Amino acid sequence: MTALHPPHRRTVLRGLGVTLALPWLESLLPRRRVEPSPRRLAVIAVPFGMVEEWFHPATAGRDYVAGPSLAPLDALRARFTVFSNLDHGVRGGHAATHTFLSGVKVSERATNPEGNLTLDQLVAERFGPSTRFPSLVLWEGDLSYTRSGVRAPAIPTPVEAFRQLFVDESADEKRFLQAALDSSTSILDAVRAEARALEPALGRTDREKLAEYFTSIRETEQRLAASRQWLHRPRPEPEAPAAARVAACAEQTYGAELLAGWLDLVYLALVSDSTRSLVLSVPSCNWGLEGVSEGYHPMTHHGQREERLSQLRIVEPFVTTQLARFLARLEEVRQPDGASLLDSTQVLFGSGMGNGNSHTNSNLPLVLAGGRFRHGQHLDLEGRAPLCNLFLSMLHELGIEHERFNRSTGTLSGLEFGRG
Amino acid sequence: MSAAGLGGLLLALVAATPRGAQEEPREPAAALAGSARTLFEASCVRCHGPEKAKARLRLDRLTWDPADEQALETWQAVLDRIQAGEMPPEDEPRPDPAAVAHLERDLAAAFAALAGEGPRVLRRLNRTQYRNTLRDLLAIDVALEDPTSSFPPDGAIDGFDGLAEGLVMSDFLLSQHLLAARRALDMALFTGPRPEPRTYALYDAEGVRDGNFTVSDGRLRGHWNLESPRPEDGPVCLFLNDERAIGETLGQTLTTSRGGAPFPGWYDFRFEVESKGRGNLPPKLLRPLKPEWQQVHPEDLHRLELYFSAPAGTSPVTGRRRILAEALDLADDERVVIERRYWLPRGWRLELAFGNAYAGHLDYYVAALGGEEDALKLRQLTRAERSARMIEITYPWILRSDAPRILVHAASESGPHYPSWPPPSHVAVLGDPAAPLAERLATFATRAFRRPVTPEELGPHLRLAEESPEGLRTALEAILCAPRFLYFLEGEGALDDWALAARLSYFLWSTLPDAELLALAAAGRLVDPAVLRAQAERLLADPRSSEFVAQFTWSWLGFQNMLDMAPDPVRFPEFHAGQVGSAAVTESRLFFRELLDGNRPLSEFLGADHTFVNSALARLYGIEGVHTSARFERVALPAELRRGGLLGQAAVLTASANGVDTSPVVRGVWVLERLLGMPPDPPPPDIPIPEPDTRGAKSIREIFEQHRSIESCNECHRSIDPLGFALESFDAIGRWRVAYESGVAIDPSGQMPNGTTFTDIEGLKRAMLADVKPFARNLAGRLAAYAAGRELRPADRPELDRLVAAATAPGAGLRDLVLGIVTSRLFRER
Repeated sequence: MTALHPPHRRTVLRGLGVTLALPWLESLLPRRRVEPSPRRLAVIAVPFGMVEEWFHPATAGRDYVAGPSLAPLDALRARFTVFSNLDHGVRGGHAATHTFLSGVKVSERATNPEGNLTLDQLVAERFGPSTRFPSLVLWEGDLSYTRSGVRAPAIPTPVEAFRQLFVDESADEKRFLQAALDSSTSILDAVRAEARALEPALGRTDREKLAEYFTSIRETEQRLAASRQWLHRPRPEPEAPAAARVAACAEQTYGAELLAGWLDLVYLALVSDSTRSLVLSVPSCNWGLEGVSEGYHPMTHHGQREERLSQLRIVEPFVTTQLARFLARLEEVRQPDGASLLDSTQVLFGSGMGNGNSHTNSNLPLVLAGGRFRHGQHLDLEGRAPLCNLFLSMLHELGIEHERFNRSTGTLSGLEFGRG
Repeated sequence: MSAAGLGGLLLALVAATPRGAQEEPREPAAALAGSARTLFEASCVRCHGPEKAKARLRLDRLTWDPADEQALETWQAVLDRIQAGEMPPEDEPRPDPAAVAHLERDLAAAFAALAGEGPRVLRRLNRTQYRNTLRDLLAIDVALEDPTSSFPPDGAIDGFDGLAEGLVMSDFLLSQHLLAARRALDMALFTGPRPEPRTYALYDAEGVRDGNFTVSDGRLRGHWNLESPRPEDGPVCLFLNDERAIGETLGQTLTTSRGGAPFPGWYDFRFEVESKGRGNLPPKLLRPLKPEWQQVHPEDLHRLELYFSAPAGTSPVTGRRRILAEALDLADDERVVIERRYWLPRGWRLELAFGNAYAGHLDYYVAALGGEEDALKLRQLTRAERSARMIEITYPWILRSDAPRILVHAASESGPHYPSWPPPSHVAVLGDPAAPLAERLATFATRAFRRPVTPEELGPHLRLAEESPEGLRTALEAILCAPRFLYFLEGEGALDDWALAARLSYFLWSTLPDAELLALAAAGRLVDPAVLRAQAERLLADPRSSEFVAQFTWSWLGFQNMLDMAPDPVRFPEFHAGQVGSAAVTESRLFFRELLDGNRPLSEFLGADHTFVNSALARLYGIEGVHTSARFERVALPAELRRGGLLGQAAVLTASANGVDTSPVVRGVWVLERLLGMPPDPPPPDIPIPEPDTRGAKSIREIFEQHRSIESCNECHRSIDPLGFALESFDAIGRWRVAYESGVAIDPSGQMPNGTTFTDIEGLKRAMLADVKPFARNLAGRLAAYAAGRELRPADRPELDRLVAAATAPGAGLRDLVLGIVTSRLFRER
């Protein structure tokens, strides 16, 4: 993780186990200019917040003391920022956690010009065509909404995600998909014609619903146009050890093994440049950790009772330990321009809930790692800015120079980044 | 009523009428001006007025506007609470019955005036309906290869995923529709010559093993020789569980046709099996090595399981996939011949397994049977050697102790068979090749669109069909993605014959109307309520109505939660290893089915003297004499078991827990929402909730007593907690208990908001049975919503009340309710 010079090509190959098909590896060939590494966003979310006094440091600034939930990340302190008193100002407990990446409730999407478009889906809109998967939504599909307000479906298991990312279709299946693509244009034209002819006879509310159908036709056309270019390109070869770990969790039902397997998969997805926008959302689960008998959800309703808190005291540091391991692995990967994978990937860890015990949606637990931000501090916003300001800063770092994002009032002051 | 219920209503009201905060209350209409106002002034306004506004309800400001649907719904909720005896509280004067009756009459009149008003949302086929429709329209099998397997989940409202308001269209879904349509047509069409059937047997006529049958370990990691050395025992001996245990199981299956079915088609199987040695395992082997491994229950008959097994995946991480075809309890020492015809997609196979066999290590097994030295020998063998010598070493010990086993004396497979060629699916899709293209397309589209199509409507599709030789197929794909196929076009007001045919068929079969329904629609007869009712009876009598029972019970009772928050496998091993979970779902379905078929009174949902169990459930409930794990028996429930009705059923008790422990609040809310249709308010968002601090409380009961000492909590929790406390007598998978794990005794007594006290779950059920109307209204509302595919609205209330009155009259039952819904305005109007 200390290599500052561009690595030997073989080293890269050995380290990544990826094939030459990756666009950025081609840039290692002689006499080619080294392209800057692509920018990416990865979000890792937990559903029930984090115990505030274990997560949020008592003092702001660079010299904070990390509590038990943050301590596993301490070795990487220079590579992330932890935030306090930053949130969307929404309420509703579980019913509001879906606003984590948008700041806008589903029920209030009409009040915002961009609806409840989420951060990751905006990134997917911008970076989508560059990769096979414009966006990946993993495990639980509760946090990602498109511009049209539709929940982006999640891939529910690591094994299924692995298949989609790394296992090429058989020749038969490719032929099938090619034929489906070939006929899709005229099919969509025909059904659009039918819908248009149908429309005048419908009542007002039926017409409104049919508008969804027209939008879907248009967006499907775009989606299919994008998938044409990927169909015959081989998928990357996954790095063997991580792939084996993903395989190992095929039969797991416990959260602990699944989280580890999912983070291996997220690592594989990023290192193979399969997507530039990714959300991993942990569902309610049983953890299967030594000393933990409660389910994740009930234990967060701890009521300050020791027998529940002591279990959360195992689970929360476990989650951040896994996060730390994941970040360290991104830091180890060097890209052709010399930057680490973490340098070019923003990793946002957090939750749409603050305190699971009292179901608040304020003072969210938030860690932003990676990218070119000047990290290393605990930034206490004291409620001065909405969380969307952080998202706007993140978009700017990604090169998406929007003037606002949903409820933002500007970029987040106190968090700066250097232009790479 | 609607999903929002009272809690949501009040919230909605507060949000929707900010004017109420500034404006003077409008004068209630004359109809309500008299006695009803007195009623509120006398009994309600002190708590729901300017001083307190409990539950954020101010009855002094609630206006009487017969055109304001939301305000009317709030009035209705107020009336419901009064009539249930929950309000006013005990220490307030009783309301004047005449005033209550007055309010009831006025409300009914106002709702009647509103009926049929309000926006209706265009409903689309949900995933289940789309899949079943492809199945029946194209005559294809979708059970094993489901063309909709990659569909995004449908939006559910209160667990119901077929309501118009929750179903959206998106590019994710439409692009899946495109693929599913193409895949389904691929499955339907048969090109090339008719394949010749072939027959295989475990041994051919000369006694040579046919390589097409494999006897192997369950995970396909290698082929174990399971052949029994003694010819009189038959060729194959299954004695180990094949993969019930979690972890390092040794598994055994007998698998047909090594390469899988060479063509999609019908295959005939014949097996001759015999169950031997039941009950002869030494006690040491009855206890599982790990708690989550399956336990052998010697009193249970041996269970033979038949699985469909998917082609092995291409990826190293794609595990094998299999689907249970059938499970059978085998009588002891009897040769049984099993003959089945199954449709297999290409590459699929059939597997036989001994479902409730010993699950654990082979060497431990041999040692326990007495073969210590042979166990040692087994341990020293390499994997390959074990595979070759397993039976040779193990078999003598099995014989010596006559250990439990299933012998397969004969096995054969033949196929593919096609009763007609080309198969019906091919004909269903392409029609008569001699007919004009337009006619063939119109025939298909009429069935797909569930009503006749005009040439103009067919236009875009016909143009596609005429474009190229492949055009017909493309046009058919387009029809399967077309708005007339994907959406229910029901017009406005009263439904026409065609819309009624579709509604009825999707209600009771979750698929498109059959020929008889279409013929009646064409003859204009379905608009006759008597004909519609007769058709509903016909559909209910058909096995396809099991789809209604399965879908409705799953949604209504929230069984999805059993998967989302599955019981902890370590704490509740029997739930997984003993397959209690799926058995419990079956129990609730059989129970519902019987009430439906027998037209039993709705009150039996809350208190019945029987249920349906297999051996695993019987053990959970403490019922003796049921030894079949595959077959369910109808059993009488002795009163002391306190199991009668839904509230004693394991699926309900598991779905209302969280997989780890129970919570009186969660179960209480569950009963209020799912059974009584009175979802409580969520904790108020604008009042800071004190961080729960329940230290120092001894029992869960005391914890909640503390909670309820806070007045704003108590407003709702006085309704929630008593229900939950009575259910504390059942643990998180529905076992009876008298104390928590901590040893603290359970106190299931409580007091209902109307003052009725009870000492345990039986008392609670009696209290609920004293007035079955709230339960009946909720069930009727959910059935009607499921049937019409939309959320109910306040204006539907009078029609709903009429249905409830009819369904709770003496002699009426569940079947009457379902049939009543079909002929009601809720069903026959948009």
